[in-house]
Amino acid sequence: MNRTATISFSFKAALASTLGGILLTAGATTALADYPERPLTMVVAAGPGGSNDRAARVMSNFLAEELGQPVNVVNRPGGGNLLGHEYLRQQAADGYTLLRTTAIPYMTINQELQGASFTIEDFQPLNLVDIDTSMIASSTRGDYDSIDDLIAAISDNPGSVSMGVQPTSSDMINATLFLEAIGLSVDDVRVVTFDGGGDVRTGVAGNQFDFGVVGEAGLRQMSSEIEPLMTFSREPMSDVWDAPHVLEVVDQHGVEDYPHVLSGSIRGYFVHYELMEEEPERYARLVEAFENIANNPEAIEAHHEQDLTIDWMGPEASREMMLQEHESLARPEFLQIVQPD
Amino acid sequence: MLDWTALSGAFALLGSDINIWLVIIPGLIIGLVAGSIAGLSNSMAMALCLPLTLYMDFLPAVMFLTAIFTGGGFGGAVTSILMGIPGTTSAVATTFDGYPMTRQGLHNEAMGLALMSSVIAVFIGYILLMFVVAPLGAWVIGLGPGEMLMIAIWGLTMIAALGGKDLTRGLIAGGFGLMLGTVGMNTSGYTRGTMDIPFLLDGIPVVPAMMGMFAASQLLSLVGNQFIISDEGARRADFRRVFAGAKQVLKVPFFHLRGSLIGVFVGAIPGVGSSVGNLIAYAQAKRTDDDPESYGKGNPKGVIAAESANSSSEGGSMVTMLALGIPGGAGTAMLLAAFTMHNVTGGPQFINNNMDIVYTIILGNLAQVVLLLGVGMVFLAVAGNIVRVPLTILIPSVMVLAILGSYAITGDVAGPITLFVFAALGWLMKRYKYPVAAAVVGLLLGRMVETQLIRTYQLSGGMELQYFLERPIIITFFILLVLSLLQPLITRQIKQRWGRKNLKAGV
Repeated sequence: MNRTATISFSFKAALASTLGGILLTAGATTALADYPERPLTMVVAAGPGGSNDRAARVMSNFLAEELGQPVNVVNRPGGGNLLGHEYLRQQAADGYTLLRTTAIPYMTINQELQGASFTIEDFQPLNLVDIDTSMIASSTRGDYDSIDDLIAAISDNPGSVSMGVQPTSSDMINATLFLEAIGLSVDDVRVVTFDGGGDVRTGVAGNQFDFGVVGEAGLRQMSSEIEPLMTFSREPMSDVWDAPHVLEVVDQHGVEDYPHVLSGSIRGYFVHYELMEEEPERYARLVEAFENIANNPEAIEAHHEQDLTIDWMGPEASREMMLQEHESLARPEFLQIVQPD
Repeated sequence: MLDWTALSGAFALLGSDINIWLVIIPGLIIGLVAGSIAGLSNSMAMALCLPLTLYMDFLPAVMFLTAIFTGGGFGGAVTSILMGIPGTTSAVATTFDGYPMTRQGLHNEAMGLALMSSVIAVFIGYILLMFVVAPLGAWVIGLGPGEMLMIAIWGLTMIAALGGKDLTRGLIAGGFGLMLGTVGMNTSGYTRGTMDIPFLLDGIPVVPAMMGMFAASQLLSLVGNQFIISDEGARRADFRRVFAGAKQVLKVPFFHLRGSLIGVFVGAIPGVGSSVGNLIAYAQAKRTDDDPESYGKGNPKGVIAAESANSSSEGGSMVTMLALGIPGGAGTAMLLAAFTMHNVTGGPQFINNNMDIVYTIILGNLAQVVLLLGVGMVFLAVAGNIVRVPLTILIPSVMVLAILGSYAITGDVAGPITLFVFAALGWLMKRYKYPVAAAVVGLLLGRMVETQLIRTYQLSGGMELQYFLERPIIITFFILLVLSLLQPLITRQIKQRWGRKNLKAGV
């Protein structure tokens, strides 16, 4: 009797657990098929109108098509993108909140100088789409037609030429390193500080200062208003800009080892790092959607029309690049340049 | 200055699609409602409606959003006038005379004044835009920090205008507001006064703070009342009296035109916008009036000056957006986003290649204004009933809306917290007779003044005189500023010298 009871009990238990298992699996499958079951939010860590915002709005349309749910764009500007980054970290790591931001240099500066509650490792890039290059440019109505004119003017009259720049940016570091390499210093120019790249570009086009140092991508739309003087690239960019690159210029000045050409802003799309481990299916779904969009001719055209890029780098390569650029930026001698005190 | 081929192309485009016309009235209504709810701004309404425009063609989409823009620009006046709580930063000066008019039972007239002033001003703004869009766009982005500083200081003269008899208290309140306006990270990267609270890095959220201060001070002055208007007969919404108010605007065309021109010009400068224009126009009107003491007590001209400037700035703000693809504020940024969604790229090339579309947008907006007059009248007939609600119901309802609105602005609890802190502050200020409005003006302008002052200092190599001498526009602005400040003195001198008789004969 006893034995049968035990057998029958364990049989029931086995049956129950199998059934339960089936049900669970079924549940899990539905959960997977259901994601996303409500609208997603794309946080832009900058104000409306800039390149992060414009890109996020283009991207959100295609993303909504891919995922079958609307994607709302929310602007969270302020504090050198710190507020937007903190905002994402405060949201649940459930794959319903994405981030579009300029990771480099802001995440590095947030972490190293602003006492942020996160580190750059807490963000997982889905794709880094836009690696900008710093450029020196002036207005077509300005006084300088070439980088040599500009350098001559700065050395002849130190402290009289004005430079528009965002103070906590790769552009600022690049400008400082360049001036020091050719025997000048940032103290020889009048540094005029702006809150964002957009303001610097407006200032260049409006001839509000003698020259600006700012990412080149956003200047392409106003190329008829500006005079390109030099790009901070390791190779010539002659297909886009009729201007020399920094290594060429320092070479003419007999500089043998130029410290470092920092890439300009690096922008892209991010999720919580935890999403990758805790919700691998959702993470995979998002990666797939971003990859499809990057290969969708319609999406590529929509981006190119606005001088935005959407090339597929993928999460692994993106993470590697992000951390590598973070490391080269996080040197004390570079951070000191962008630290206000 | 007009491109006739493009203009006739624009008429053809306007006639090509009935949808362009169908979206205007819904847009106006959405804007009016959003603008008149404290804390919901027209740019927020535009952002919410942006996804809808995906399902429209390009021109209807733009027309829909500009209709919200236009409706919202006027909607802000409704709460300012009826409750003395500006729903948007661009309607602050509207409260100064609009709300006293309501307390006197003249709310119908005040709203008629505001509607007519807004309608004519939007019209003037777009007419000007039609002629000068390209040259004005190129000119305003050339305005550097020095020029912007002059404009910001011009706005600050408002503080003196608000002091009234007790100038010292006005200046203290204004200075306090200015200091509050500098909280956060400034343009050169320094952080001040944030008390390690992250959301303050971007400064004190202005709209919740402003709503809190105004709401607290207005509610305090209502203690012991059962209705906003004590005379029961005066509470009725009366079309004839709205019309009478509207007609009053037509009697002072040049006075109105000055407010409109200030609005267009100030609105055209990227990053300045309608709130500064609203303040400057009011201060200017009060300063140059024969009877400045009557302002702030329900002078209809105060409403006209304030509403003409904030409405005409809509046309102004479109200047750099259309001519250069540079959005001057959140509203135009939304329009630019709509351009993007329809794969239309803004920027200098846009206006060069698509002048007909630019004209279509302008002409469509002129038509919107005419419709606003009709839609606005109906809307006012409904909104005017607010004064008939007993305060025991009205005050809690306003509080709930203000809390929701402030939450919507910041997206988290930071908004409501700011609202409460500033409500307490506003109550204290009112209690000790400091003008709340002066502190709000300081808060609105503090950041702009500081930012432009820093940049001017940097650009001029530490305020070297030579920099200013090479900039004729800064000098012109400076002279205009001094003249406008001295104008009351000068006119008084002239009057005294010429004697009263001569002056009367001259008039």
